[in-house]
Amino acid sequence: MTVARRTASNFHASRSRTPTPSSDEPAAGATDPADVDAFWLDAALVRLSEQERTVIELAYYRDLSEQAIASQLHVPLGSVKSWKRRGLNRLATLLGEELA
Amino acid sequence: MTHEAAWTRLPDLLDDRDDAALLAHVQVCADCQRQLFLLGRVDRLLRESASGRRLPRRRATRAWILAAAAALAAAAAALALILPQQTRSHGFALRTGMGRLVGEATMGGGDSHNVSLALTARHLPIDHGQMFVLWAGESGSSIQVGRFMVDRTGSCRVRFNLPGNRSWRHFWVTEPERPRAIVAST
Repeated sequence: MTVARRTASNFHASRSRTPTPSSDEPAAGATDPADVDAFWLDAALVRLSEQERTVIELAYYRDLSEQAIASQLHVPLGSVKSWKRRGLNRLATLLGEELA
Repeated sequence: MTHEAAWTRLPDLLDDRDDAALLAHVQVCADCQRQLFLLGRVDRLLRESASGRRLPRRRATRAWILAAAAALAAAAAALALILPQQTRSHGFALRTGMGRLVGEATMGGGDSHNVSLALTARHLPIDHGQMFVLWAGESGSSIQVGRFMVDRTGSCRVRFNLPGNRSWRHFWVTEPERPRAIVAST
């Protein structure tokens, strides 16, 4: 496990939770891998430029087309394509460093 | 195509944009193959994250959350009434011509326009490369669902969206350059 993932696990393990009896409650100290992935993704998105992050968030979280993003941001379609490519490539590179 | 140009445009392959020059480069460039593999994982992480939140939590407003919840509830209710068969999850297996199991997939509810297809490939034959194409067919017509790249064991996990207004009955996998050479099928 890499430093970032350990940090994510520690972060989630240390968060106080209101105990609620439930048969679905994970074992004490367990960390949902999906939470670790979400933590990593949030941390990686912060490392992108504002334009790259905005375009990726609009594309994935609002499911907007590149044309719709360009219209919403009042920028050329080419800029949207370029920011999205750069942002995704940057995230993939960060993930590669994480897995190395 | 130069390596730098190909590297820049690798994310286009996530959107199934056909680019023969780009694909030709990727097939002979180990660095681009690795980056494409990582891009696929990033794409999956973003889609999984998006399924849990349509906007980042730090930016979401209460009004937006309430509006989104209302819209989702309305859409789900409409979908349940209009397309009850489309939202039901079901799975299928992909086998080679020799009957070897090389993939499993689950189709489930996506949104009002699409159904989600999660494919897990295992030990696909990589004699001719690590890129493959998934096809879907119904009575008399077929579409290219998307391209995917497996690791050196022929395995990967990938997610696609399919038009939800059709009843997909048959799926098969081919190599990108040989659409008639079926590697595996349902």
